[in-house]
Amino acid sequence: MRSLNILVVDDSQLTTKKIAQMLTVMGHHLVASAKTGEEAIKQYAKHKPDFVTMDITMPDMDGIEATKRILKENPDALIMMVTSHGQEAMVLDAIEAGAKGYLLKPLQAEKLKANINEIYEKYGDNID
Amino acid sequence: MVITLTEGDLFKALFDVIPYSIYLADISSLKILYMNKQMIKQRGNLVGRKCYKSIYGEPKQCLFCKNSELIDGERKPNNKMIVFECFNPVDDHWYQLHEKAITWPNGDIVKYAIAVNISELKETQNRLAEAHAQLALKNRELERLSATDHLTQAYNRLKIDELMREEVERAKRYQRVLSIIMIDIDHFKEVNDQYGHQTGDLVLKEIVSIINENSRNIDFLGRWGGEEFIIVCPETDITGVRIMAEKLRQKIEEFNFSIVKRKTASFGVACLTPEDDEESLIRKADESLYFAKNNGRNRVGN
Repeated sequence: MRSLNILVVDDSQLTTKKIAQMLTVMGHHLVASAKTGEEAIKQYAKHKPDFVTMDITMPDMDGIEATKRILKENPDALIMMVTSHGQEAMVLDAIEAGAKGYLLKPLQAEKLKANINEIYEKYGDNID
Repeated sequence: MVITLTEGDLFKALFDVIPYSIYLADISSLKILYMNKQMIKQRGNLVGRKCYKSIYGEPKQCLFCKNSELIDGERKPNNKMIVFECFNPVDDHWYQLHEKAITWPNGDIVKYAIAVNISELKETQNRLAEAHAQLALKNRELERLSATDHLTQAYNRLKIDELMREEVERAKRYQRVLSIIMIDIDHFKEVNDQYGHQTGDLVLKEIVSIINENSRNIDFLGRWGGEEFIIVCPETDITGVRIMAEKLRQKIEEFNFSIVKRKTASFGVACLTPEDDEESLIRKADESLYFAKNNGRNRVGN
């Protein structure tokens, strides 16, 4: 699998750093990060990343709304939720909004890798 | 009431016996005033530092901070114990927190937080939540498959029929305008005969992508039959739908198809009137399309 440009959206700097480290080990590239939903939309438009990891609870707009808005403009966007919310209703809302995956914290590198690969192979258009 | 230091010490002695992490933080300054032995063992001594930074790794007060719910309007303890779950990204553990505000012997309003590590329980719950997500994803995939035409990825006949029924109903109920466009690719049979079915399939796919690129998010495109498509256009009157059909006609006419190079299509349009139902609306669009076909093709019918 080729190296992907990834946008990490999380209001916790620490979590962003941890995800970024895992991505680097996997050979991917953190193209940008965002701390809020609004920022995520802007960064997506600017960088058109291959993949997005999206937190749910953030200061202004939550990750589910940001997912909807990004997908409205970019129907092929690959967005995976990485969150601490495990309630079934939240999970269903996220999938309904168009998320292609849902992972709970604490994030395990192996799981992150398996999910990115699976989602990219299933929905990504050009597999190298 | 005079509270002696001994009472504070008593509090601390009590906290030290409890086998969970406990810390005290000043409600106003958010500085850690005390940690019990259990917590110091796990996290080191963080007394004097800001709770959000040293415990949770946040640059400012945590979004989930419950302090404001522990005090009343005069910033005095309201005696409520708040219990909540929280993931700590610093040590990657899940905690159930029991928090309450109290008046410390020196008069400061402080919060004590008892943190019970529930990581193992959460691991089980989280696996369940991830399973829910997998199931929901599979369901959505199945829904998509049963609603789309496999070749073109436009809605299939079944789904577009259903969408049209819903839109007709909605337009009638709320007195909104609604129009449809019927599209038939001109001389499509010749493509199949001359170039083979694979090329025919390619033309269908290319037509669908031209339509998708030149229609709005609110329009629904469905494959009606072999080389026939239908677009349901909510909030569109007869003038609007004619403009839209004419634009699509031009885009198709100008498009450089990969093998056949040039291809055109004929269009029928119809706008819902109060007397119409779904069937009569389709009939009107069909008649309009028939007119276009009989008047030289590559045009929008009356």
